[in-house]
Amino acid sequence: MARAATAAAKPRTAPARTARATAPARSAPSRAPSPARRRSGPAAAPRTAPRTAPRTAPRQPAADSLGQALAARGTVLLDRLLQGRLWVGCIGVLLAGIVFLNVGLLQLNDQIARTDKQSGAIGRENAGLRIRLAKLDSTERIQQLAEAKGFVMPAPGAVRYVHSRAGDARNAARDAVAPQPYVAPVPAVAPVPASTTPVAGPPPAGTPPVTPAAGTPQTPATTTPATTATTAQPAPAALAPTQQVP
Amino acid sequence: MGLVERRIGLLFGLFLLLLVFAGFRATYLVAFKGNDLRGRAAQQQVQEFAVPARRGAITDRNGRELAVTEDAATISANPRQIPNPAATATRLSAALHVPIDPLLRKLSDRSSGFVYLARKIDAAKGDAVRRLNLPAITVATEQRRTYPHGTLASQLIGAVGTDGFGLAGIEQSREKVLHGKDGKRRVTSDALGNPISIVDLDQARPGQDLRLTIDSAIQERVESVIADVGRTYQPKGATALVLDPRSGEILSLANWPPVNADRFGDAPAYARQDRAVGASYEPGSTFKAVTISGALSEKLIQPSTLFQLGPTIQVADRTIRESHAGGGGTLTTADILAQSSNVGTVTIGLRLGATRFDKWVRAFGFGASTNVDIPGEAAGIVPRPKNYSGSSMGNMPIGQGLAVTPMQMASAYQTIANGGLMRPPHVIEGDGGPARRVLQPHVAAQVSRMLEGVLGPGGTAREAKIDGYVLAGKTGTAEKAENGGYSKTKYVASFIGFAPARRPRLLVAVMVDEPKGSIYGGQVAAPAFQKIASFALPYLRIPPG
Repeated sequence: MARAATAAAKPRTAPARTARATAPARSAPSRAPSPARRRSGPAAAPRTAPRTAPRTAPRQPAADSLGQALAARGTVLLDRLLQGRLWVGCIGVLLAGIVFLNVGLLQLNDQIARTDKQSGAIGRENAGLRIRLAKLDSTERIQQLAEAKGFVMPAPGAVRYVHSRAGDARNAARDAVAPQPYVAPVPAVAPVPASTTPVAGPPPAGTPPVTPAAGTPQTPATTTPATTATTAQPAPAALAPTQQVP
Repeated sequence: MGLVERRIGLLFGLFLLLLVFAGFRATYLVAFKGNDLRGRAAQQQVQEFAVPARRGAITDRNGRELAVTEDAATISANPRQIPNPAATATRLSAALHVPIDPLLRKLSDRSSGFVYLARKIDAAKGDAVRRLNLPAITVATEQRRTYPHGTLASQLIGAVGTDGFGLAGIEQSREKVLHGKDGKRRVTSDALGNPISIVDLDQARPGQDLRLTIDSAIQERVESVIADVGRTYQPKGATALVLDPRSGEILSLANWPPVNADRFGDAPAYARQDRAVGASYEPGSTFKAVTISGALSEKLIQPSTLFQLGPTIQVADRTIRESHAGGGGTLTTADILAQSSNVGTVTIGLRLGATRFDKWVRAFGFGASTNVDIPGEAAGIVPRPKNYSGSSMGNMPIGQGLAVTPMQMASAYQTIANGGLMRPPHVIEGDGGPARRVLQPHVAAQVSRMLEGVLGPGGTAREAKIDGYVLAGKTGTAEKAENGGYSKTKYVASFIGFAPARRPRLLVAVMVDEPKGSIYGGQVAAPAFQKIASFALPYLRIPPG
């Protein structure tokens, strides 16, 4: 139906266009050639021949004809574009783009809202952790825990301080020796008899700590524990390792 | 008319009817319900609310947090829009872990369109209520102040009110810095209530963190020590100050009885007061160092100057006695200070004279604010010489007839310990002002040597010594003024000392208000000084000397 209407309209528009196209030809002797289609903007006041004729510079005929040809070609192209199916497609694509843009915007806003919520939750969790840290950091609490493990506060007079003197750095530099190069020990792979009681005591220098293999039967009743436990008797105040350089 | 035309006509009529109905409905909604619907839509879809700025944290000198801000939830309701108050109260009670009756009472009262059900509760409980999705129940996210260490330095730090503004202490005095600037946010939601647009109309600016000069480890120890004093002597109150005399930095400021900072408003006014700066008391014998410093500066005496002293001295209508038996005899200035001789100090004060005495009292900062950056500081009471009575010079040199704050006393001893240079005491890092010379270095050194004698043999605080360290200090036992006279049952026991005496790095002042049992500064306050210094000296790695 639309196609029929277009077809019916064509014959009616053709003469009009012809008339508009011929209009400049009628006024050619007194006016400059006007474009075939009206340009947007306020309507120009009609010019009269006696006023415009003396001011109009004479134009070259070749340039005039080229301009007319280009204008006519452009008009035809625009008309075809507007009346063709391509235009419908373009409008469709544009509308779809607008819809996608809006949907994208909504998604973005939703994402912002979720991120904001997440940020709030993390901030809240962070504040909670800070409070927990502050409570755990209490010196009184740590001191009580240490006392429960057998540590004692040294008496103020029992703490000795080493004062550095001018020559100390030089003497230390003189006495310093290069460390021995480290040689990785060869691990012993000899089988251990099941009845052997492990000997407690410090391992030889350079020996890596031996971890009992999983599933190896342990004999805690006959094993002498190593004397490195931290629950040992508190050291005498005079031996407290708190010597520091002020 | 054919069948087709009739059907088309029928359809046309039907559509026309529907169109007319839609038109009437639209007209009704616009004309009669428009305002209400517009308002409800705006309420449901567009919300503008304040975004509170996160309040800055208060930390100690090592960055340990003493006051922090966390999210909290405030639950409110519109009782007029609640369909079933009983069911709502039941569900809320389970979520909030509160009794049902108070909730039901609030929800059933339809005289108001707004009621708070819970304010600034745990955010987790707020989330639980939010998940219930109850009609006319609103859960708003707010912020609340939390003090992780409970009572630690609570009178110093102060508290924040329900509306988020500081009410006392540092929280109040540094409100502008800590508070920041609240923002404003507009949230547009869809029909399901999901936010589809969040626009910050005004960006919230968080408050700045504040670092104090307080050391929380020393603070904990000091509070523990004065709590022991509280248990032993059951005083009305006790205050302790620890300063670095070289810089004027306050390392600890503690008051007993303690106050839980999270329930600051519930404590009695006396407990809430920061008495280190806000309470004035008659200092008693600790003031004798000021009198003697003035006389030394005026070259009226020397530490070795001998005084022939009787057991009493008469000044106008007042007879001054020694506080202990066996007073009098021949004493040097150093002995007068070490033995805390009232008669000897009054004799020196009389030699100094009212005008010069007043000059030196004010030079030490008494009668005026120390400008410490703690709110609520009192200036104390120091009469002018023109207002002296005949006996004023009989009691003021020994710390009676005038009132000072613990901070002023600590500041005066800080001057002596710091070679005569007074540094303004401060509790906020970077607040220290320029130093002011009060005493010549040699005078400060002379007074400091004499104060060593107080903790030596024959001194009034010989039990307060610490092995390996030379200490200096002064005891004080002052009767409290009452009904125009002095009470015979109420005393202020105090001790101010510094260590090491020759190179002071720690100053401790202890004041005990109305102790019971023992009343003497040497027995009540000096042991507290000893316990505090015993912890702080190795903790601060101050070598013996």
